Amino acid sequence: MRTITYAQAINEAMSEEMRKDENIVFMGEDIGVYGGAFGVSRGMFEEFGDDRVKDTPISELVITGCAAGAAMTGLRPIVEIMFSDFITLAMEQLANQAAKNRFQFGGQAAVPMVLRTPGGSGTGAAEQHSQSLEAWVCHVPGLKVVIPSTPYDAKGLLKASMLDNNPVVFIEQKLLYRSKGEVPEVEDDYIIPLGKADIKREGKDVTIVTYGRMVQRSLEVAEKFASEGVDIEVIDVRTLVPLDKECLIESAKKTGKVLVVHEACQTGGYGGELASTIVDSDAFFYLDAPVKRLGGLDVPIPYNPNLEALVVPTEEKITAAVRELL
Amino acid sequence: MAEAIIMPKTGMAMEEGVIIEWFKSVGDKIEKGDILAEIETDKSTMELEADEEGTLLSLVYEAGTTVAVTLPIAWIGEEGEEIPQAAAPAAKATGEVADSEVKIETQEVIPAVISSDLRSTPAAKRVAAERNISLESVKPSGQFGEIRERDVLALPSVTATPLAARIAAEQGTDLSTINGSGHNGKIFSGDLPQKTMTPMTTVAEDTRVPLTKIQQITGKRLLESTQQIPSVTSNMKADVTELLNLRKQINSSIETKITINDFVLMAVARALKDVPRMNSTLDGDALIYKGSINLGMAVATPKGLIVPVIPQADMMSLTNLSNKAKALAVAGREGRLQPDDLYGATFSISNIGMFGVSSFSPIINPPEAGILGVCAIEATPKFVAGELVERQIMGLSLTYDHRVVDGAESSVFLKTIRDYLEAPLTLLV
Repeated sequence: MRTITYAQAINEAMSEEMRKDENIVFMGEDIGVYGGAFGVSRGMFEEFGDDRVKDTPISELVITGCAAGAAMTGLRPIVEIMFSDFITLAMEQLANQAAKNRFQFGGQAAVPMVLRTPGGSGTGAAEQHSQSLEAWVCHVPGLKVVIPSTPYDAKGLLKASMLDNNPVVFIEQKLLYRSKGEVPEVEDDYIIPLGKADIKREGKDVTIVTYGRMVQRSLEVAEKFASEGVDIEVIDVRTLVPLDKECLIESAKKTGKVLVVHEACQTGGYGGELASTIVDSDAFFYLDAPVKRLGGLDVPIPYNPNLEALVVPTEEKITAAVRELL
Repeated sequence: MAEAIIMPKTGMAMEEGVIIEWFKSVGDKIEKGDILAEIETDKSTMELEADEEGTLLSLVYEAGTTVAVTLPIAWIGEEGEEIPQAAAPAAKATGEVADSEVKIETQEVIPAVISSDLRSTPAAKRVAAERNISLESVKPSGQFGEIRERDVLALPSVTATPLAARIAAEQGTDLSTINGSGHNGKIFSGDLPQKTMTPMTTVAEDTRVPLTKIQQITGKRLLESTQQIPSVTSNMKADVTELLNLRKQINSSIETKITINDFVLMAVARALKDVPRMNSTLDGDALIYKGSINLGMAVATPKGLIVPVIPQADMMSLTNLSNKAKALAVAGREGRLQPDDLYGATFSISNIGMFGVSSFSPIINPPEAGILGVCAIEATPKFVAGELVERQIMGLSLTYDHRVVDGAESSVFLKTIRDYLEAPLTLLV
């Protein structure tokens, strides 16, 4: 199988679907001529032209509002918010309009749009360009929330998001854009349905439930524990909303010990939802330790790169957390 | 490797058990579920089943021995296999060694956490419930002092004897719901619900048989006697060697066979004449000395114990006495005694010497003052004129009413009987 980057996988998903469906349009800041702040849309402006790949003014509210309106009138827009931190500016249109319109109009309106935006720290972009704000959007009924951790998942999940008739917030991991992974040939089209978690590593002793950039980090920790004879299962949630609860519960019943890891601040983070999903099920009777959460520190992401690396779950922190469960 | 069969601990309070009987001998081939022994606990008896198959290598204790729980009492293994050194009995019964073994065992089950703040994970609780293990017996290893699943799994799981397992399977009983009474909660067939239990052996049912009229009256009188009379029993030995020789001579010359009991009746009748207080009856704050000596003679019959009476025994010859006693005994056994035959005894005799009894405490037949128990005659070494010789010694047990006679007077009476028996010719003059 060929190997491509996470960014390329996203580009392919958009381009392939846009070739099939001319109602798909793409808009955002510097996505056209410039090819996107992280180069994700490189070549798309040239291929699809400025009718379908639109550079917009610097107004996330306008871009998101346009997309929601266009979606209700028949287009299937993709919006790129340059940094997920700017979702604050798009939130009115996203949370109060796009998420609610289907319900508001009694099912007579649909909002088939995808809001793509990179989240996460690690680039030295400091506090307003490094946050992980998935919990904000997970809390809004009507929005689906996807965070892929590999090029393969990114392509398959983005296609599913584009084909979905509801607004989907597709949070990419800016630190993963350059990461590579195996993805089928272009001819071998595939879709990964939303709402299906993926067991990235099977194990029987401890379950790590995670998503995004922390999947790879957890897998590395798992490999190190394997040499000690501790068999860790790593579940990549992939779709936060809708959540594959069954996968989490079954794994917790198997191992009896669960660690939830995410980069976002721990307080009010989605890890609370993941943990309580397990505790609030028959898996409770199989738990052999308190379900442990490991999130980022409750501080703004520091500009200093050394500090920045320390505020999110590191391999050392994940390792220590696993040891507490054993 | 040879496996130990231990004295089972069938309850928390059980500290020792008695091996009633071994059903297998050393060298026997043992199958799982074979009954090895009958064990008596402070509560009941139980059958000890084999957990292992193999050859019975050794019985550490003989039947009848009391052994502390969990100590090896037998060994099973391959034929000719060596038994571990520890297999030798440390003490015949529950000695100090046995006690220390018990203490070690106790230490292991001391709950490390007091139940009031017993913390355990849901998984530990679930597994403990599945395995029927009490969490109080689990040693916690969790970081907060909580009991983890692995701590429960570390304990031996609930086991059952092959028989119990088979019965449980047949009746569809979930063994994890059964509290085993054996070592480490081992489940025996007797622990299974009664309703569908297959009996291990055919046990005869209890039978209720009403008491005969005689037994009811006798029982009531004996109870009154023991409750109302301050009685004392004295024992004395009589050398009846001469008496036996004399009896032999007599019996070889006449047709009627004189029994030893006849001599005793005679001796007692004479002694009562010599010590008349023993032939009296207490009446309030006075004694009534009886005008005649009427000997009661306890006879066991199918309907119960009866005491026919030989009136004026002191007036009779040995032959007459013998004939009368024989006639009364036969009539008593055949149920032909008349009411008069049972009335008016002034002193009684109970002879159970033929059963080998060496001494006992007969119960006074009120309102009499005493009763003589006649015991077995045993060949006994005895010094006679400085030489050790074999003599025939009879036991005499006299129970007397201490209100009527005191220790000295009763002893004189007993000694008088003995003297007659030891010099039997005096009875014939």
